[in-house]
Amino acid sequence: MQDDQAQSSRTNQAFRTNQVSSPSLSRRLVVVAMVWIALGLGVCGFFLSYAFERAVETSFDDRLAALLRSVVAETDMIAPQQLRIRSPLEDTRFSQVYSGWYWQLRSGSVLRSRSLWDTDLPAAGAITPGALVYRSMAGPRDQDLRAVSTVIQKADWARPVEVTVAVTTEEYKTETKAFNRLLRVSLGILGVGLGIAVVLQVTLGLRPLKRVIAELTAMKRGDGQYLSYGHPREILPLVDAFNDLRDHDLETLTRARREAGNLAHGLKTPLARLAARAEEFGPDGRERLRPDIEEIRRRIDYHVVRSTVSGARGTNAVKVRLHPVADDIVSGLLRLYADKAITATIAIADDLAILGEEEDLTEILGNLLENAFKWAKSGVRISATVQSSGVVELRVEDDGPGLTETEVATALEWGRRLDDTVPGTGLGLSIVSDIVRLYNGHMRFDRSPEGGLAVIVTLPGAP
Amino acid sequence: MKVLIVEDDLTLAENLAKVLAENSMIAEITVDGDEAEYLGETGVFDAAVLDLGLPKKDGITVLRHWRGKGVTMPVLILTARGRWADKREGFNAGADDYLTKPFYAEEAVVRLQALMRRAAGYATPLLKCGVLALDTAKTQFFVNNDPIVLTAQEYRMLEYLLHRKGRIVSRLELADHVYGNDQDPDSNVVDVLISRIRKKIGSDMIVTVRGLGYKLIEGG
Repeated sequence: MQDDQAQSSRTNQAFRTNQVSSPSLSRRLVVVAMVWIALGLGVCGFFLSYAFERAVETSFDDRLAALLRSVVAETDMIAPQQLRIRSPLEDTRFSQVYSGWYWQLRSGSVLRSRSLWDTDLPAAGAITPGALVYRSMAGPRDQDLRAVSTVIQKADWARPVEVTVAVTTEEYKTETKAFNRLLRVSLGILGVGLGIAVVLQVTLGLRPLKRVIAELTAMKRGDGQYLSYGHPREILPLVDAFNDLRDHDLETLTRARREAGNLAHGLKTPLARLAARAEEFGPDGRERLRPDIEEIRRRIDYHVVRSTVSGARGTNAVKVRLHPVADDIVSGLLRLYADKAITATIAIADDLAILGEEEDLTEILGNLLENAFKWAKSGVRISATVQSSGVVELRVEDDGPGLTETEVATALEWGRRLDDTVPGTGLGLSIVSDIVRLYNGHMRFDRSPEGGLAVIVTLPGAP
Repeated sequence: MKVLIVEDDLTLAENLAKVLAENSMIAEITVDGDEAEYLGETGVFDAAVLDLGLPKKDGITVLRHWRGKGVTMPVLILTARGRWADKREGFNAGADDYLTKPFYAEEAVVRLQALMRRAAGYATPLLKCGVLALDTAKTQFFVNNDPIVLTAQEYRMLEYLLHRKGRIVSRLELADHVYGNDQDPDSNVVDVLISRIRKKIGSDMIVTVRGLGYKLIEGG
């Protein structure tokens, strides 16, 4: 069964490495929001700027029209071909040469403001008398001019007169430019503000997900087995699904253990009966059946234990403190081996814990310690240290006969040797080795300071 | 000594009872957890063999009940489960030793004798009281290192007194531990047995405490 578990976890790892992870959720949200903000602000800026320009142009045109009216009011024709301005216009800019402020009267002859000097503003063409015609044109010195023209005809005049007023657009262009600059700055500030708001919203909005991830991470460290229900409604179905799956996992393990127990009971009771019947044939018959009965027993034990190993990893693993488990087993074994008067030392920090499952750890410690008690002359010692990598190193030592080099070599070959006569090669250590490997740990032998066997096992530590 | 066997498989239980009897122990069998709880509390038994896989009330529950009621007799648990998680649970519930099935009755006998001996405060398999000694492995009494011949009932009575060395044991208690529950001896039988034992080991070792019972002492 744990082969199946190993299989599925391998499959999941392969599945994970084959998947190209999609872009981060927060980046996706931020990028989309930013694009929208940029587009919205751009369009808004364009229309604002356009509307402002239109408004400035209209008011400029109104001013031009007012100027035109005052020029028209002063226009007089003394004689055919002789135009006259009754009184000069108040604005002095009309008298400064190339000031950008110009007027011009045209009726066969041409009368211009002094500012125009000898430049001629082009004629507007046919205009209905009284109508205003606006134009943009180039003036002297490449000035951009906005001009308005009209035609007036008085009864005593020989000919109609075309009156034109032209003013440089420089002033209103500067104004528009200033407005556009201001617009850009304020839209920029608004954009930055919105950007910050989006990032904040995404961060706050995704915080519940981060909390779920934090709980899962804590689970990997061995804290807790279920996701809490203090999450937003949208996430709760996920929490429910995860917790249901976890329940199912635990139930499966419990059921497997119960079934394995029932199977062991169901097989071993008749086997025990068989052993009891064998005694009826006297010592000789009993001894002849004993090896077979023993082998069946060991095989049942071996497979029952193996099939009930959880090998909990990842979020399945929980924090299991070593000391209480070691303490329970040692006190049990002290009772069991009371006649040997063994001194047992537990040198394990109280808060030292591994990441795994309690019954697996019980199986590991039980077998290691039982082996040590079995071979010890007078002392058994169990110690555990955390290595810099976070791995917990367990060391179980006795002062028994220990192993020779060759025995170490054969013991490490495993190969399911069910030989209880050589220390370290019995069923128990073989099971320990299997469990430890499921936890990605390893197991090795050493000589204890007293010359006995030291079995060293590494397991994932809980931070 | 009297042993309670709690085992739902009668073949196993009866075989064990037979081998226990061959080793001068009296066994009583029950197949039911509830009955086991009650019998364990009577104080008649010197040890119990408890199968954990009982059909109705499991062995761990029975053991916890006993320990909760202050029953201190040593308990050897029988389990089909080889897992350490089960053994740990057994130890935590108050088991003193365990045997995994299939087991050999001789092994159970050796373990039971050791458990009862340790419960009586003896650290080695040789139980001594003055010139009297009992080798539990050989089920043989010695006086001044000379083996003495005892009947099964005499052996059980002297063994029980030796396990209660220095303490007063009533006639009723002696009868309970020496005879099976199907026998109902009157106290005269106990007195007769005591006088026979006195002849074999010397009269000054078993003291009669008037109105209360008997006491084994080291003697002079």
